[in-house]
Amino acid sequence: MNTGNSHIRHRCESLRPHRPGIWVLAAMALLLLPALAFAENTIGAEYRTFFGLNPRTTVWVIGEIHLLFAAFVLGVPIFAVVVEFVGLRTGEQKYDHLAHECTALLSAAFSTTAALGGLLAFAVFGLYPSVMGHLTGVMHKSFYIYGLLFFGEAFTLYLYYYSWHRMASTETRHAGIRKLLGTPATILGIVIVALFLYLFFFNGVGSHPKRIEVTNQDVAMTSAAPVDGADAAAAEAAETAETAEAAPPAGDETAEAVKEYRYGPVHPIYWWFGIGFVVFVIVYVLFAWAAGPKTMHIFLGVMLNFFGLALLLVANSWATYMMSPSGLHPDTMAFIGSTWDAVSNYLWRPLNLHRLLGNIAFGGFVVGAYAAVKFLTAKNDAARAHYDWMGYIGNFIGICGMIPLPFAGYYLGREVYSNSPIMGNDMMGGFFSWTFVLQAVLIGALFIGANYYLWAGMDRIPGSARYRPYIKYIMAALLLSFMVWVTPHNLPLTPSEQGIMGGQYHPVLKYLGLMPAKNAVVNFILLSTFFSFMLYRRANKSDAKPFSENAGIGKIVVPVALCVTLFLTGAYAWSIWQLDPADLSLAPDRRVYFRFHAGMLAVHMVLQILTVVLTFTNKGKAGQAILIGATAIIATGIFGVSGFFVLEKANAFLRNLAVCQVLLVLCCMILTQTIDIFIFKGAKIVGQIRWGKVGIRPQYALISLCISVVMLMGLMGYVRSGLRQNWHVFGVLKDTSPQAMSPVIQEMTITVGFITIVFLGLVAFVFWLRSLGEPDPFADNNDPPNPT
Amino acid sequence: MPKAARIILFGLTYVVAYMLLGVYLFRLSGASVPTDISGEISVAAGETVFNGLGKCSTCHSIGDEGSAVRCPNFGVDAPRFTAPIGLRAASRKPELSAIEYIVESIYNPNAYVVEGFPKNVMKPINRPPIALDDDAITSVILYLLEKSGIDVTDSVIKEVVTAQHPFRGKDAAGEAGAAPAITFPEGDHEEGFYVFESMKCFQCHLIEGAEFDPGELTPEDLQGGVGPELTGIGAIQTYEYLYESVVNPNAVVLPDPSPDKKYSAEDGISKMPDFLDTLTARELVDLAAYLKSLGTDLEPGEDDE
Repeated sequence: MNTGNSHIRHRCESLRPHRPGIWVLAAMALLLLPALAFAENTIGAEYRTFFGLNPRTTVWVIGEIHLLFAAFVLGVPIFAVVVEFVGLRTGEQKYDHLAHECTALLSAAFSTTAALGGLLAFAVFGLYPSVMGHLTGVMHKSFYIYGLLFFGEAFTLYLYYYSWHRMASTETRHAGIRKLLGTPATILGIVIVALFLYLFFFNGVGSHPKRIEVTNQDVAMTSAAPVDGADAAAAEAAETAETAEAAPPAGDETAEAVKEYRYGPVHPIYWWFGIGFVVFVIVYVLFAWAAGPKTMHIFLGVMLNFFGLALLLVANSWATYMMSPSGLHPDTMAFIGSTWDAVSNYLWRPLNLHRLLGNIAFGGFVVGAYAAVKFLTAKNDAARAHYDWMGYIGNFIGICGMIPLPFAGYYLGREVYSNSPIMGNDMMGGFFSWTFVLQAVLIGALFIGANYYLWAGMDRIPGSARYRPYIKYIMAALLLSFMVWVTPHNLPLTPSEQGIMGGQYHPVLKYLGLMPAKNAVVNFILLSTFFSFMLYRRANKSDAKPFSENAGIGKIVVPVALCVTLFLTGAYAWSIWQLDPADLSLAPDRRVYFRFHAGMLAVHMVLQILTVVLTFTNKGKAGQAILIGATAIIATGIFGVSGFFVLEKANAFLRNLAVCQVLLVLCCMILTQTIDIFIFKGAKIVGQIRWGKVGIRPQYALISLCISVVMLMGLMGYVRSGLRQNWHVFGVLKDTSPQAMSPVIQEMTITVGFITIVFLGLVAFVFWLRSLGEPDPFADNNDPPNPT
Repeated sequence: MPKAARIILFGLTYVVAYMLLGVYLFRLSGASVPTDISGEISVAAGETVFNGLGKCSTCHSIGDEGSAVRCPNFGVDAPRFTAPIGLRAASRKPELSAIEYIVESIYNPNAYVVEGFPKNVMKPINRPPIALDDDAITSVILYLLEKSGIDVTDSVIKEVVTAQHPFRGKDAAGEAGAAPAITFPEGDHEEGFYVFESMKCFQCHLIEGAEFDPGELTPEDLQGGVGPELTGIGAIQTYEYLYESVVNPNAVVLPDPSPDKKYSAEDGISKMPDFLDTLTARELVDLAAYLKSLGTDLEPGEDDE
């Protein structure tokens, strides 16, 4: 396993029982036992080759394909259960059919994922026995939890899939209990989801966002000084650590401090969360029983997602432990912490969030591509209508996952840098910096493709002609933004080329290669895409209805949304207003940069209020226009320019500035979309959407989106794993194998391209296998599952 | 062409285009495999390390070379830096020369942080995860001096190596630092006494108050003073130091107490032989326990009383 650059997705997902794969899996499980035992007693070679092939590449390819299947298996259930819920709420059968079709794909892909997981486990234990010995020693308890969660995943998946028709009834069993528990179950559900997100995807409890443990970085700080300087260095390290438990004193005291940090399996607050979750399950089961079989079925889907997410969290802890190991003795680097110390490492939560959103987007785009292929090969209008609609839903979910993904990516990248500036520098300014040009190209393809699909899809929407003139401007904005995004700061030029240009940097374009420019255009791209989506939603609706007369519950929801956005913006504005320059190692006079940006956030808050006021005076569209325009000007224009001053004069504040930009865009989206729902509530429909009446180019756009997202995951997986360079476990366990070097970008793209072809080929094969067992629902040109 | 074939062709074309883009970017970026410069001390090696394994260039520019702004520019970058690092370094800390300051900044970056730059961004370069060895660091310093317009002569190299002396060998290359500390079993200090005696250590090392059986040695052989006196050594030294002194006497050689009395030979090598081939592991453990007991409550004799 590399370690350095091979992508070790060592999820031991070999234990998933499924119809065709159960015997294979049972055999794998038996075979795995001696492998695990061997790992505990590492004897013999530390590294082996795979029948003479490069072990790193072997693990990389198997791991990445497994990860892609796993992303599908984890992403699609989220998609399916949301669509099923929409079907229940709207009463439209087409949603239910779509959710069922997706679950059928899921079922087919599940055993393949498990088989690949088993193969990956064999590969890492066989090729990297010593490394796996170390990781097994640290993480073995989590292996058992992972196995148990797998049972939960498998059982809920099969229950969810096979009970679909049996639990299709929406009839209420007990109206009294349903009414009694409806509100508590909903509130409890929201609280549990919010807690779940906070504890596992953001800061969490019992760990500090800055540093929760002793890492090699602390060791470096405490022991590098000469003997007489050691105490001072240790004191300094203690001073910089931000919590009492994180401050590592010297010698044996440090070991004691780390031991005291141990919480057993998990921090106590997580036990309370578990109890709360059980209470939620009991309340919700009672409610779902009373509400009827369909509600209970949706609950099964929720539980399926719970187990899927829990599996994701455990597997993420293995990957992130290798990047930011925790629970180590500061002197010996031996692991002395608890399993929780290792699991709850510094990069765990940021990666959880990033992968969750990534999986949602991935699931959406893969479903979209599946629909596109079915559309292109459909034999009648009914099938085309159904798969056209399915492709639209897939693209919609994909965009929903994509829009917050850059924020999550920024969060992860920032934490990578915070955990290790060396890693961060390698990522954005060193060996891996060119991969971000490729990333920009792929993300550009994703956003332009998704926008193109929306625009092309307007062909099927009566009344969309009103909005067509806007499209060319959005397209121009997107293209210009991506040109900025892909512009590198530093061009590799020959001396003669430098002579012609007057230096190593282009006099103007050099500014476009810096982070302030990148941050500005990314936010502009998101706003543009959001604007495209708004146009699409409005395409077949007549003009907005007066909010004051028509909003209904909107008169409560919109102010609540305003409170949320005001709180988010205000809290952050206050925090940077009060920020002490010394906290960022800046001179006192740099405070002016903090105050300026806090002031701009305050201006945005005023505009948020103005937008809502205008909405209540039936000028909601004007309010939306003001807010979107102001957000573009502030987040992209003003902050884009001020970013260069911050970069030069108060570099450390640049991260805060990026958060300001993200906040404004997010708040704008939340408020504008909430208003949009209510001002177009009950608006007259110009004409029904003519599903299936669309050209083939949008379908190819959907296929390209799927390929782009697969390659993007491969690319970013290479970067994430490769950041460890020549370390198996960063700073702890060095890669001394002959393959301990970073594959260059050329090797990476070829390998990722190969992985993409294999993955998509396997997916097509698995879906074809699945289709053998069921008759074509559109064979007779009937259209029961189709929208009209 | 069948529809399915068209879809497959589209997909393959898309993927191949991406692969070709990767190949193009690789060629455009001019990336290459890092050169092996292990064991070499030179300006050229320093440049390779600066831009490669050392990753210095990801944070530091040198004048107009490079685009990094995260950490101080090593060249002239007016108005902030009006002189290159080799010239301005001397004024950073009055008690340190320019070279000493540069050395300290590499091994202990937080010792002095230039105003306007955050602490803790740079990690000691001899420690993981960069973990450069001392020679590579020497080369980087020579490269920086040369970029500052200073002639890198043998005396400059010697000055750099001398300035590195307090830091050299401290977890060099990260291997020692990354390896877990060794835990020895507890030794028997009384058995260690007999090891000391049987190995005739007392022939060179005096221990006040201890009496050893001289065996066949004559009084002339028992002058002592060839090696440092070990009276009370356990109270002031660690186990690690004692183990090291026995099996690797050259690791630390004390300064000669007088021109007439030298602990090292003419070539600077310690006069003490190593005992790698003569001591068993058990004897080593017991001997260290005995030495550690000297000057403590466990010292033989006092314990008996």
